[in-house]
Amino acid sequence: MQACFTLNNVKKTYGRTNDDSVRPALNIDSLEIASGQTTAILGYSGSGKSTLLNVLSLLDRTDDNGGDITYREQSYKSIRHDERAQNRLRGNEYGFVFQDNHLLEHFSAARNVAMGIAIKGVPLSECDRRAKTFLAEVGIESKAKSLPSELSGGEKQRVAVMRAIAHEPQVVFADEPTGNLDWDTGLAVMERLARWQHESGHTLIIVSHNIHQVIDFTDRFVMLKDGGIIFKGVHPKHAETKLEDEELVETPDRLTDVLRVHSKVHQLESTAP
Amino acid sequence: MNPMSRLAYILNYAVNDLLPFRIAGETPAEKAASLLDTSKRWLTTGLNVLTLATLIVTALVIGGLVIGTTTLLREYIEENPLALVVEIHGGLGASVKTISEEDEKEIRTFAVGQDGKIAPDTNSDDSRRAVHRVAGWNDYALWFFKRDGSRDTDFSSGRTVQPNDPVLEKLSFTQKASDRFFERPVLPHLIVTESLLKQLGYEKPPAALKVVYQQRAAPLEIVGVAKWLPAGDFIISETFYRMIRDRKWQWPPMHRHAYMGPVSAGQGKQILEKAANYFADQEVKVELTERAGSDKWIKVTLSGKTRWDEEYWTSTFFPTISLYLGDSGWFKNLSAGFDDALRSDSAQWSSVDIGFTRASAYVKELSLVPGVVDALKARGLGVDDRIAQEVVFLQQVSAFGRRLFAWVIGAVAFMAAVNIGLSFAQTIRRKQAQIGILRAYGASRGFVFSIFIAEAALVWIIAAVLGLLIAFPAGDAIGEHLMKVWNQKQEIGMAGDAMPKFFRAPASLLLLTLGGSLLVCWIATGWAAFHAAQVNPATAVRSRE
Repeated sequence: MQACFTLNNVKKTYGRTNDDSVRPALNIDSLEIASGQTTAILGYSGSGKSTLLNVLSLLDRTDDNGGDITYREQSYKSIRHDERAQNRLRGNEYGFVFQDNHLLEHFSAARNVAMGIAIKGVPLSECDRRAKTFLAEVGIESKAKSLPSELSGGEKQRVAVMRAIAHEPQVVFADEPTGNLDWDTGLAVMERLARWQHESGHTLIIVSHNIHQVIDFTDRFVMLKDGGIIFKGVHPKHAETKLEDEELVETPDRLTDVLRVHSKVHQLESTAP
Repeated sequence: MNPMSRLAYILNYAVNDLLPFRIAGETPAEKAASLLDTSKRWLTTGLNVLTLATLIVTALVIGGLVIGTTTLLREYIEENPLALVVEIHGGLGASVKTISEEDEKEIRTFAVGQDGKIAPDTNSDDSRRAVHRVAGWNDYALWFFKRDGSRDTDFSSGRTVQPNDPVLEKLSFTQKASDRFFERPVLPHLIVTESLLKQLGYEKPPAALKVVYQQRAAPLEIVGVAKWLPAGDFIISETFYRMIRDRKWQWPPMHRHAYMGPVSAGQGKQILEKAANYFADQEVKVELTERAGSDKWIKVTLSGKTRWDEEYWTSTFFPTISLYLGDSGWFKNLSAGFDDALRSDSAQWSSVDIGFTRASAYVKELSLVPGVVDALKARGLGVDDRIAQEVVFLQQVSAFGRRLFAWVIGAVAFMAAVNIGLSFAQTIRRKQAQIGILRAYGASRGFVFSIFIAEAALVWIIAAVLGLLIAFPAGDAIGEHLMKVWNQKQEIGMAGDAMPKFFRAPASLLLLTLGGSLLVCWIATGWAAFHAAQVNPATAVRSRE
């Protein structure tokens, strides 16, 4: 397995970072995220999923002495104070989809899709042209000039997905991309993201609490609890690249079992006389 | 990576954000919500534009007024040497020697020397005569008719007084008439001594005495009888003095040339018409003979016949701005540079010009006028520094205007800054998530900062256009009105077309206002924009659920 991200002793603490009594929101000894595959980060609310995504994508920083993350050959520690390099990495290599679509409300669907490339200084006419081909691909070309408030929830999220891939990123980070959508719409969004990953051969990292919705599209699994990793899994199709600490995951049941074992309800049940 | 395209995107973002022009939504409720939201944005932007435009209009209009007044005043002072003239009226036939030996040395006329330059002339006959006249002041007097109607062969000497004249403190009245003396400012009044009345054959004071002055006879109302007068045998009121001076009392004219101004180009004709009109019934010919010294002053020559068949010349029909030249051409040699002469010399007052009824001290600087006035009053002389007072008043108004301007502009600028700053801060708080998304997609802090700075600049541009569209017509209208008032007050003002430009904000103020308002706008939005740029993208994009 070729690693896209390598994490070593990564810590992220909110609030007073020098206070030992404050438990870090993220505390990962070691983790590799596979390049050219889809990795799902799973866990209950507050388990540190989004925090992991944020530090991986440079939206947030790790603690001052909180280990290092390497993206390909690039050490985050070395660009910790180099905002320009961080912006460049985020702007050129990464794409984002969030639970809330966060579309620019006063811009048309096409301009939203083209946001990433417009920021880079691509002429607006060229932006519009490219955006239209992306919108056509998801069947909402006719809505190119519509404002976000004129789009349905699914359409908005599709625009957000297109925005995430329009600038041809190497990695797309999706934080609960289907969280606000109904099952079918959510599935369509997942399918589109997976298709991008499959066709481009780039890396997709999805944070989700919905195992059933992501499992069919996922190559590898990381499960978090209280900021730490409790489970690493891999789809059987990648069995030959399985690492020592990874488990083969055949069905969602294994994942839900792991989750249940770590749920507070289960812990209460097992300690009962 | 085209910076121009990036700038285009920033501007595109700013315009869309400030003035969204699309009403979105499919259901009526959505459309209404969208309309409300769009209206809110327009209203917010509109209010920001209005406050900034108010700042610009206020700065340009009030600033134009202040600068206009100051300019006008400066022209008025610089171009009008009369502001430096203190008229001294010791009065008709004042017999009191009013000027000390020391002061006499300061009295001189001017002459053109061999080198062509104007210099004080202390040795010529003219100059000696001037000294004699100021020092003595006994050339003129009133002849009184006796009670029996016969004319007194001996004339009597006296002086004039005006309200607050220190000589009043020395008067002792036999009749309680001092109040009446000032109550009726228009009629001629006369205070005489008891001894004069006795000499004229009166036991009790009559209502009026018939007097002769310059071969003209008229009755003067007696308002007081004094046991003793410091000035001689009688005192006539300031009012009467003015009547003589302003030619309401008929007496032969005595001046030959008049220098008038300040006048603007094309106004000579207007002056000539006015002068011709004034002399219409006296067959006087009015000519503009030359422009003197400064081209803002013109020389008018009048010629005609009196009943004595003598040629005469006058300048007294513009009381507030004309110059008296003396009766015998003392200043004839100086006509080329008269107003330069007024300003020359190093003495506090540089010359004294003697007319039939008055003398004038030419003071070197406006600031010295009050001192000269006090000094003259202390010697018991009546003085008239109306023009100086007017100038000082205008200076005070102008200074007050500048202070007011600073305060008003400061207040308006502060309000504009607070208003714009708050509304931007609010907008930016609302836009945290959008800013976060921009940052996530690689937009630098500078990029985010530029967006809001561009929005501020856009607000400023609209405000500037609006402000200029309002400020110039408004400023001109106010200027025109003020000039009308000014010209009415001045009797002969400057040409109407030349004036409104005084009240139009000059280019420097325009630049300062535009630059200043942009600065206010940027300072107000700067901190909000700075905070926007500091938004942590991870926090900003976090789901609101």
